[in-house]
Amino acid sequence: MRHFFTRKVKIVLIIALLVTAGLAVATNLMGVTVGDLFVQTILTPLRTGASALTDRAEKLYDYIFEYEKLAAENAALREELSQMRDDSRDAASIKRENDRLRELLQLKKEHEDYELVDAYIITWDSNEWSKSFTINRGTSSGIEAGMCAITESGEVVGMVTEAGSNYAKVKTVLDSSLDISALIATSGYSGMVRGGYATGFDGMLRMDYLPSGAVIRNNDQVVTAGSTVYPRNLILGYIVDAGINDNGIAKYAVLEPAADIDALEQVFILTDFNME
Amino acid sequence: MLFFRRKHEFKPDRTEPGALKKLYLTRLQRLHLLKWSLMGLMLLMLSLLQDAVLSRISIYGATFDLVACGILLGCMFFQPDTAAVFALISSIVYYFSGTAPGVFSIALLTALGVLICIFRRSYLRWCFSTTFICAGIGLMIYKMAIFVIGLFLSNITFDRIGAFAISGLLSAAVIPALYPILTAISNIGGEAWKE
Repeated sequence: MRHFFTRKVKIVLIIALLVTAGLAVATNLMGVTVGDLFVQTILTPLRTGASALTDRAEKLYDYIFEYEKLAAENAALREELSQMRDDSRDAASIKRENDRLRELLQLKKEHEDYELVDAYIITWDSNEWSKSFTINRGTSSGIEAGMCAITESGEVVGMVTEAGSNYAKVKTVLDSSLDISALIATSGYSGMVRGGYATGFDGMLRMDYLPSGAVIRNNDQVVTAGSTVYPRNLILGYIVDAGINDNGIAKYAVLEPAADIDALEQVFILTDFNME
Repeated sequence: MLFFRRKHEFKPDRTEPGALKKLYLTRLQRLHLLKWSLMGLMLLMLSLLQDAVLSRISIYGATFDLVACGILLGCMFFQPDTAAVFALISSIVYYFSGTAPGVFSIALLTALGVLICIFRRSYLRWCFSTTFICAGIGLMIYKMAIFVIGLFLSNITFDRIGAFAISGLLSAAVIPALYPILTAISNIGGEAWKE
């Protein structure tokens, strides 16, 4: 056995010890040596490729042998995703309701005499000359025909025309059959506001019986004048156009409704208010 | 068919020698170059297999150590002086690759590679079982030595001895797969039969 321990073998063993000691010192002093950087730089792309191949092989194995398990997991994840999407939609809806109620609270602070009942729109009854909707509250919640509907910001939506025990129909201000006495807030000129369907102003309101000498400005706010149905100073809309009646003795104004009727989800019915 | 060269078509002689021919290597030198290139490639493959695939597998807390197995087994196929140089260079590259347990693996693998090579050549005849036994014992000694050094450096606790032993056994289990490959590589150039 001794004859195998040649001089060359002994030299190599001594070199191995010296290299070990030298690298131990170098690693302690420098951390990462040039040899580490060189070898690992060369090996990294090869390791990346090998790892990618292993992942593909694993996926293929899973596809071949664990297809049913993966399909079941996929179905469960889809259901969970669908549930989460529903939750997200509910959360968005709740947030919108929360924002509306916060604004309503502000309105209640300004008008302490207002008694309001909130209701959600459940159906729309639209045709070429009228626009009304049905809400999910009725006489059991204190709602009766002839009450007005507003938004959380005090904008006029319409009037309750029919009330059942758990539903009510509301005719919107866009409906031509609804007449509301109104004032131009800045100048005080009074007139009558109705829906614009019958007079060629679809989606708009028309304010008639304005004096011929009335000065009408763009963006002037039009508010309710006050009646048994509508309390005073509820916002109807903003003037966008004006003109002279066919009879030539009165002016009219075209209003853009303040409430975004088409985007409504929830309305508030004024069940009671102080008329003074 | 018009574009393909026919087998017996005349090819002109090269006017310039190829890259290897410029080195003026003899046939034996070319064979030795091929042999050591294949040894290096085999160790590279073992390293990639270890890092990409087997590192994800853990059996009772133990993993494979293919590179150490390849180095120690490879030493069995050469003369002691050749085995010593092979073990030294391979273990240095193994350390620099970042997967070695520590810098002490250079001295350990070189010394163990030389010792098992000399032991087998001194007392046992050449066959698969003697090679397997010597390389297996070398692997177990290597793993236990790492365990002792780890204990000494306070990197591990004593109850991890089982994992090191299992790791040695798992690595030794790969020897039957590597043996025919290394036999074929070592026979290139015709040195392996020299006892």
